[in-house]
Amino acid sequence: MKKIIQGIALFLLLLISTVSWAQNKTVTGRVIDDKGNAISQASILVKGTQNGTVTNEKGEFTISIPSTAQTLVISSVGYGTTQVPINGRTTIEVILKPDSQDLQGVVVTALGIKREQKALGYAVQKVSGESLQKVSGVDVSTSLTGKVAGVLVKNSQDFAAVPVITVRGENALLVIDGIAYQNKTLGDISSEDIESISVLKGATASALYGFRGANGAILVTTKNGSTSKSGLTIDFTTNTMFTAGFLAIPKVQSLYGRGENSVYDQYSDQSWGTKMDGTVRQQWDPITKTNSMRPYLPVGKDSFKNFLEQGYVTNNNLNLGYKKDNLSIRNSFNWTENKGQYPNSKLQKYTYAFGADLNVNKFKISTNFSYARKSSPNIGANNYTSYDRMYSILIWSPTDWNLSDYKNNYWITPGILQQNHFGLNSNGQNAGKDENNPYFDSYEKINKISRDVFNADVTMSYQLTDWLKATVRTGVDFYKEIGEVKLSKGSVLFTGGVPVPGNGGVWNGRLVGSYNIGQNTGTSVNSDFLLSGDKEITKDFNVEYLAGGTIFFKRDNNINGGTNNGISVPGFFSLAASVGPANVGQSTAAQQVNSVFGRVGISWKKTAFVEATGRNDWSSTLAKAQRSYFYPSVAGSFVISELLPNTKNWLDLLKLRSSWTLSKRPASIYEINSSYSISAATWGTLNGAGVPGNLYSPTIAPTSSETYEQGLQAMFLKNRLMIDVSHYTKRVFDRITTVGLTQASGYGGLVTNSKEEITRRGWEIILNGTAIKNKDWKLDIGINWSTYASYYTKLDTVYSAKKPWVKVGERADHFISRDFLRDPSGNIIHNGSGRPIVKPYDVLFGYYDPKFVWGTNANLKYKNFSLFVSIDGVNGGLANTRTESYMWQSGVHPNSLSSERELDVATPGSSNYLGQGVKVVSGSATFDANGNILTDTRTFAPNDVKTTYKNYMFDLHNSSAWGGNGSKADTYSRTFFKLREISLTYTIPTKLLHNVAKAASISFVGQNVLLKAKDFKYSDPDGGSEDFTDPSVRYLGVNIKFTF
Amino acid sequence: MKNFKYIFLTVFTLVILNSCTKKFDELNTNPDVPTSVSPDLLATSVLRSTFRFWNPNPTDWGTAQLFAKHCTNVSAGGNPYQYYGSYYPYGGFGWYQNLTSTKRMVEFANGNPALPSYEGLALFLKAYWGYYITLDMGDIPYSEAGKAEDGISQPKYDKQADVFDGILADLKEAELKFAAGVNFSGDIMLGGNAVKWSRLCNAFQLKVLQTISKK
Repeated sequence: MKKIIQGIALFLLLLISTVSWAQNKTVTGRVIDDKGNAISQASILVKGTQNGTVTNEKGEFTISIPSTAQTLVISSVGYGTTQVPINGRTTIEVILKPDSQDLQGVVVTALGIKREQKALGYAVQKVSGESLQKVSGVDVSTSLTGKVAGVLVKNSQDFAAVPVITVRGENALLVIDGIAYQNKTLGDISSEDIESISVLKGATASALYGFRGANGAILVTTKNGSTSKSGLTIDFTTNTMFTAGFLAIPKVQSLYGRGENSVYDQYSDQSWGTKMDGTVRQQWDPITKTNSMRPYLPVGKDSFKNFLEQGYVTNNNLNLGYKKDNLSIRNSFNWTENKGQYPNSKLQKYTYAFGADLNVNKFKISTNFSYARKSSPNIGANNYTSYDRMYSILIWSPTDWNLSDYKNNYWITPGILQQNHFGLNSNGQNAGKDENNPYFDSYEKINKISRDVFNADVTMSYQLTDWLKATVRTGVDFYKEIGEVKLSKGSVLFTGGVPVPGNGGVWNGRLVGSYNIGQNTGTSVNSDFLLSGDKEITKDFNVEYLAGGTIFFKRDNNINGGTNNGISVPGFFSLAASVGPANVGQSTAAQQVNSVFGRVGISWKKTAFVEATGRNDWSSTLAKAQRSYFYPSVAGSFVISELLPNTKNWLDLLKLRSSWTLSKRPASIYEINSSYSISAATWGTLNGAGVPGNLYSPTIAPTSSETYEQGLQAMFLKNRLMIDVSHYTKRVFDRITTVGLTQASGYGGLVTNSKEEITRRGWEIILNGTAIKNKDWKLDIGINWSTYASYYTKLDTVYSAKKPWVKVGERADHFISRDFLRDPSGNIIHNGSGRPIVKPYDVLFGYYDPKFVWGTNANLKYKNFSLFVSIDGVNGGLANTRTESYMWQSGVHPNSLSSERELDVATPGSSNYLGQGVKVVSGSATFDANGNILTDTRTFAPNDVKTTYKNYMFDLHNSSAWGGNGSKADTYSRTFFKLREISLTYTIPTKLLHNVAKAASISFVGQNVLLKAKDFKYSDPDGGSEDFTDPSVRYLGVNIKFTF
Repeated sequence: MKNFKYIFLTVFTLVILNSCTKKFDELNTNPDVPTSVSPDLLATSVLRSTFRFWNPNPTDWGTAQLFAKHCTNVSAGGNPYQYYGSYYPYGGFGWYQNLTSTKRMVEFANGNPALPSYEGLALFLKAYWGYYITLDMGDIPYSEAGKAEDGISQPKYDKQADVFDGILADLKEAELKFAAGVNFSGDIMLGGNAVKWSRLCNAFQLKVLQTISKK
């Protein structure tokens, strides 16, 4: 490896030293169409370089070129590409003919190579920065939702939750300005800084990114100032939105109060008690802090809504661009703040980005650096097992207490003893069940986070000859992430599964308080060197080539600690406050991958395109013998319309594409290392040691996958309509996996390459069109649709799970859970008490993955007004609703007000609910290991035993947030669609601006505006799964943009 | 102008040469976990997991090994332990996973004067585990147990009679190893006293013989 690189470096040295530097000259010109109209935003490129500019609105351009330059390449969206010989001129007028074959223009592909879309043998979809800047929310990923076929963005409604982006169902690599940073996320970038996003959907498209791009890549090109006009440009954007109503919010019944069996019980946290009918009962009085006799009424029926506060998101950006001659500089500042609905929840994000480009003759240098900080004094806790505040407000408390009375009133003895709605017992301790006062949870259970990321990159390129360019690119990032969980003394609940870095679930502090901290720091370095170029072999043949290498290195360090057995002083949160010796931990993980790669592309008459890539990696995470691995790809594209001369009047482009690629993913860090564990003071003063539980196969090779992709793209009617269809098949094999071994073998598991194969197949359809286009009106519509499913295509005879749903041809994303025993015709079988019997075997309920995902965007323009609407949705796929399951179990579900319940409560102790189904009269059945009936002598009769409504509902909705999927009744279809974004913009006419500003616009904007879900009624399924999801709120506000 | 070329080349070569020389094996070694340990640490953990009082079931306090000689459990209902010698009416091979620990213990004791005693401990524990597992389940893997590293990931089941033969042979060999009389460390049961362990191996053979003899 080292020798090769040294060789290449030497070769370069020789090459460069033979090339002399040349003088610059300036060429000005104008680009017009065949009718003499100016073409703005046309791209001017010095052939064989990346030295370029764009025309202004008058079609004019100025470009500084080396005197050796021979030819300019001029292109524009909707027009053809023309090459103009310079012939020593300094003023050039260019006429471009409309040629719709580049409606899509050029797209950025792997390693930042700009290519014409028609030459691509794989699916790449581009999203303009502008469409992400219509509405600026907390995270730009939300604005990406529904805008790319095959990309699903899951937007959890929980406060501070980061949207999860998947490309074809998998996590894609994020590449920013050519650098595949390890520690940056899309949320670290301000939408205003984004010039465009290119999504490389499959492994072929991102083959040159190696294993990190094996699931596709999201390439972000940030604005770098070179597209702005000469001189100083200042852009200011402010987008502020306030919460305005709910798309989904849990509701509870307010008829029945506390109790477990139809009788009032002051110390019960269930709502299966008597009616709140005004009867005088003993209740806790939070004002006098004593028990008192009061009429029992649903005084807390609006507690949850009253608890929620007005939230807002403000996203403000200031951009300064400066351009003069061959230098461009850009600075961007962003401040985003999100006030959550729960008290004491706020999130702040700051970003600063700097970019500069310098072109000197054949040499080009561009550099970016940015800093992003995200912090929150308290993000709270989400989901049931972390004791989300819904746990104590909505679920485990009836509506018989008014939460507002407990606001600013959650202490009995400050710092020691809290006040909740159960009050105190005779010993002066918290009575009843363990439920924190929700205001205590807001102000005394603090989950503080901060994350700082700094990154910098330099790209230098040098045009060695007409046909060869050398590029060096290095990017570095650093991050530091701190999480703290503080719990005051007096909490009757543990911290819950609230994570800090390095500890996935802190679980301590009940009554005694706790302090926990974790800190991650890390860095990644990406260095590329590339030699690239293209050459015309004959008039018809053109060849492009690239060779290069990459070194990728990353290291992460964690230290974490937590108090043991409580904190010594109330309100003193530090490891020094630990009563017992503090628990501490640390970890380190490092990896390096060296790669060399190459690419050759051949085109014939701009009709047929073929390219091949190859890459070899050396990964530190594999054993020496398996460390080096190679993966190739081949892609082709054929423009059929070039051969159909009689269709030119209606068919602009018809292209077929096809590709194949092999990609490999090495083991993750230390995944295949066998190591010992040490336990301190395991017996008295003696320490102990443990051997690894897993045996590691000595020949673990990378996980491999093979992807085939075919596609068709067509453009019609002068580019008014574009359709693109893709189909892909991805077969994953040799998956590194841990399979179970019998403990009699001495090990619990074996880490090996499984012979099991899972194949994912999918379709993607993109439809873009301009439905209306005239002097005043323009309507653009884009539709994205995609579907995929994964199947077992081969099983490992030894290690594949022996389950009925694990079979060749069956879906691999099975959703399994427990159902009730049923008779041959499907009726639920009841036991002697009239309650349904749970089948002691897992049953297949369906599948996790949606049937299809879609999104549509429309932009209607009328004179200075434009209306932008973005709608997206998910169809099918299963998800549990934890919220509703627990609403049923605790007795607060609004649908639980049945006549049987009324009767149960009227006569406590009576049973009035008759379950629909059967009971076993005689006989018995035997089952095999999968629950299939082997013998059955049972005879059935309709169930005639009544039970209480509570018992039956409890059985029907029984599920546990602590493990397993829920019951069938709480397994919902994820189907929903959402009006994601809306913006109505008025662009202020230039003459009204009186030279105060160059451009200005004002928009009324909304995000998360409307939701229609098939099954989910009380919560928003947008996050893909549902576990005490915060109420889904609508954001409405104003967006103002100024350009000075 | 010419300077650019030199800056370019310097950065170019430095970046490449600098990052290539890292040693991969060193990089892939987790600094926070050990790759080797001493035999006494393994002995402590294995003995603890073998003889530790596990079950939080309150009736255990009356019936399990530790307290049986000190107290009596009087209860009206039956208790699974009385029928199965176990709280759960099924057995498991969990103990056998410790065979890897005892194998490493012996390997790490190589060169240690206490090697014979660690070898004896490994043999005794295998016999001890095998004894209780075969009482739970009858025919069990014994001769091939704990040999995943030798490629036996699904050890064959031995007839119970053969298992008892194996147990007795291992106990006899263990007794001989301990008879060398070298005390060892890490022992939480008998303080590392080889003589006591030798006697225990002997006594346990009697217990096994008693178990297999006709009443």
